[in-house]
Amino acid sequence: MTEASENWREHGLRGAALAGNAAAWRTLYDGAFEAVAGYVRWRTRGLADLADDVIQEAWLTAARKLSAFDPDQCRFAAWVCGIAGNVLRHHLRSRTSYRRRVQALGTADPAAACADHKREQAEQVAVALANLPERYERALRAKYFDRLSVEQIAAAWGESPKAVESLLTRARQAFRDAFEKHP
Amino acid sequence: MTDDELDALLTPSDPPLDDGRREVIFAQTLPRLRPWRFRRLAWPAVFAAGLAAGWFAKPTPPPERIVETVIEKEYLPAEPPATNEPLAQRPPDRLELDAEMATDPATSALLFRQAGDAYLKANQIESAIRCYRQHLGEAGADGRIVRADDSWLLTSIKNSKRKDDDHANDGL
Repeated sequence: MTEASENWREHGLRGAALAGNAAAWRTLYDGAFEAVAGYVRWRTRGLADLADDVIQEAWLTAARKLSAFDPDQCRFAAWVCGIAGNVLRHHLRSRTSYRRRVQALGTADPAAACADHKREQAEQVAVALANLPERYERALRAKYFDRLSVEQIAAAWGESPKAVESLLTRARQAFRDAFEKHP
Repeated sequence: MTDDELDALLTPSDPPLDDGRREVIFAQTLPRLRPWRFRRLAWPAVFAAGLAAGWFAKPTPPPERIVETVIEKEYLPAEPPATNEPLAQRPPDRLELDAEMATDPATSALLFRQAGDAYLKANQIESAIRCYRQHLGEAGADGRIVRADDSWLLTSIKNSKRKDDDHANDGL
């Protein structure tokens, strides 16, 4: 399906869904659900409860704000992913401040602290990704989540493979810094 | 952190969400979607509902009060008749009443005098004396001067009054 026909398709589905057509909303939802869920899972890195909350809240927000979706600007799945990114950032802020308050009380059980290590590491990844500049996050997403090669990314973005390779290197370094900076 | 560790951290490995959860979320989105049809009409509907509520809740006006105004005609003293007005045109009691109701001392004095003349003409001496005495009280010092058109009774009262005033301090 070409970009133009996909554009018209999403225009039509959006209009029908806004008019209350559940089948049209179902088509939009089914078409974007896996992409959105996969993106959120990648961003939350194993925090299943957080991923579940973010996916649910992102879809509820998308349904409520569907009139704000403009198919001329981006694809529907990308629009919902943007909402999910904002929701995730909000959740992570809440979780981080909560964790700081709990840590201030001291860890009573060392065994429990070890069991939470993996969870904390996953949260570190999520926070590091959330704190990256959007361009770096896009590059890492294309490389690791979409599993595109450097040549494919360069072709999709209209840039040279060398520039993409350089961007990926800087994005990795930025992620590394953000990951190690996060307590 | 090595590149391999970083790749391991960033490579997705989670299993996909089960279809049951997917359907639950879809069902939750539907109610959020449906009200949009009515969202455009929400504010106008609220406004119309407010107007309707205001219309029905408006206080009923109290029953109109019927006020009966009874106008009592105030008795107004008649204008003093001209000096050349014939005395027979008004009865003496009416002239006396007019004199009592008059607010201006000069008018009152004039009407008392005319009433006294009318009583005298009707041969009601006591009433004439009463009116003449009132006339002298209202007219002041100027009224005690004897005039050519004074009746015999009024002249007699004026003379008597003058004598009383002249000898008022004799015994002191």
